[in-house]
Amino acid sequence: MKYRIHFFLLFSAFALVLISVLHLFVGQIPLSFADFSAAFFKNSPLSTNELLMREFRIPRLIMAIVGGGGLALAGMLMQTLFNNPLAGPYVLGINSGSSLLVALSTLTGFTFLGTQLNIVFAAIVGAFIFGMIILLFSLSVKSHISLLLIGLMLGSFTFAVVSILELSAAAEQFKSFAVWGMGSLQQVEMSQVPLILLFFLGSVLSSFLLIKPLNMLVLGEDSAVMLGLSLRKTRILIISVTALFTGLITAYCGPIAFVGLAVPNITKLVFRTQQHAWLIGGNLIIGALFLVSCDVLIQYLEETVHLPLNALTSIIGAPFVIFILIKKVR
Amino acid sequence: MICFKNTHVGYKTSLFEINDLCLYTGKMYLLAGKNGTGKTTLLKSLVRSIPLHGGRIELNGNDLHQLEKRMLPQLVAFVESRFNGIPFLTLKDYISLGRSPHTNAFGRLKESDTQKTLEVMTLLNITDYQDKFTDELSDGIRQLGAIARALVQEAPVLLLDEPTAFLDFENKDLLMKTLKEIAVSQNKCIICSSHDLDLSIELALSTLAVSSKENKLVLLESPQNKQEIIGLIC
Repeated sequence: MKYRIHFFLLFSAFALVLISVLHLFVGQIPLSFADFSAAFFKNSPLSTNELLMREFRIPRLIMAIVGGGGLALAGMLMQTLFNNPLAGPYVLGINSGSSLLVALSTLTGFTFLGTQLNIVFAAIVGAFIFGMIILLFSLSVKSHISLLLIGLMLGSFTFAVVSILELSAAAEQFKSFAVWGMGSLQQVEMSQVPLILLFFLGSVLSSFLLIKPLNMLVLGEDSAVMLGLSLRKTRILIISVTALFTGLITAYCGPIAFVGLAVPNITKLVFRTQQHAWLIGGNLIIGALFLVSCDVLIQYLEETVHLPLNALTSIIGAPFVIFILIKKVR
Repeated sequence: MICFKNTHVGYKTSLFEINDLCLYTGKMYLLAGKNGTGKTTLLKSLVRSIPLHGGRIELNGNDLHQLEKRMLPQLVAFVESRFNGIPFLTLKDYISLGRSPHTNAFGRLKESDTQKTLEVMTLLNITDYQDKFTDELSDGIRQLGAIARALVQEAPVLLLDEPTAFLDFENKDLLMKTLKEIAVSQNKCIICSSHDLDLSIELALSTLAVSSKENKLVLLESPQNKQEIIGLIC
């Protein structure tokens, strides 16, 4: 049992390192390892290639790792909370909450905090509000599919509101919002990376604090409560951490579909355990591996076809949802 | 020791009342009654899943409903009538979760926790299945697993809601005998709802009968035959 988990954890970590190296050097302009070390250690003015490495390639790789790992973890949290293999931040409309508040603030020019923190803040608050809405609905809806439909409706509702906002927005704001909506890992600069990593690591740590409640929730809410779980507190904590991950990633990368739904299912199939200490680690690594691989593919195909990230993950993810529906839910 | 003081069991309306009745550890009680008379409601009131309609229940002299929430799992354990199994959850992991009231904030299992889990698995003869996934076990083994999970909680009161409903004759027999032995050997107060009156006579269990005529719970210390119980509950 344990050996299987150790093996796959090491194996996927190793694969992640390999694919990350590939990711750094795969782009249209060939870069060398010297450029890579210069990006970190050179203080004097950088050459174009070195600058490319520092300002584009490295932040892009970090966003792929943060985005993949974070969305997978957010998905795992929701799947355990709702005891539903079809749950995920995208299908349940948590992303929509982020999109709605980001649209409200970028398209109308209304700001909460003024700086670059504004979008992050709006995205996290939006994700939290929609998370609480889904949570409220989940209390009165028993079927897995119904919850999914409610998530879809939240998405449609957001889409409608955003369309109206887009029509009344100035051309430039409209374009920047449309680009954001396609999902991309390229919009982050090196100077933003420390803040992103801080938020990300904070959320990962918080997930580890939730190990015991998550393990208990596997038994079902009633049994967990009889074993002493405080349901209300646990629900709010899980939704908060999910909102942190989803909001952060949606703010910087736009909506990325299905990673949060597919990866936790894959992780569980591979690790064959319900112990969340392992599942958290597994989801982080496999999620990162998945998104970095997607991005390598995008860069590799760049000259032939331009693939938006959200389109690629949907092409892989949508059939996967149908697969789970047939195999597990029916 | 559980004492009922003018307890009215029921959620929105009072289903039946229990005037003055005490149940003791070291004994197993069979809870008998027709369908829909409120057997499950009584058991759920005892784990505080459902509030009482009136009166009170005392646990070792303390009002059950005044107890601190996190103390409850160390005093009362509950086994639901059917556990369907959970994919990728091994029997050992499942039973270990019963230690949750005793573990730290991360749920880390100490030496004593794993020891207790092993001890209970040995008692119920299910150690061979510990690494199997719970959704792949037979109904009988799975039900024993559910009881094991409640036993490792180490609560003096153990409640079971029709644990034999989905079992074949052989497993039923074995399960009830094992439970009675546990009540004595581990000094627990076991309340088990069931329609299996024959078995209760055979094992000479005290019977708690929900009388649907008087809407009262009556204790028969040692019923002589099935008719005696049936006469009361019908």
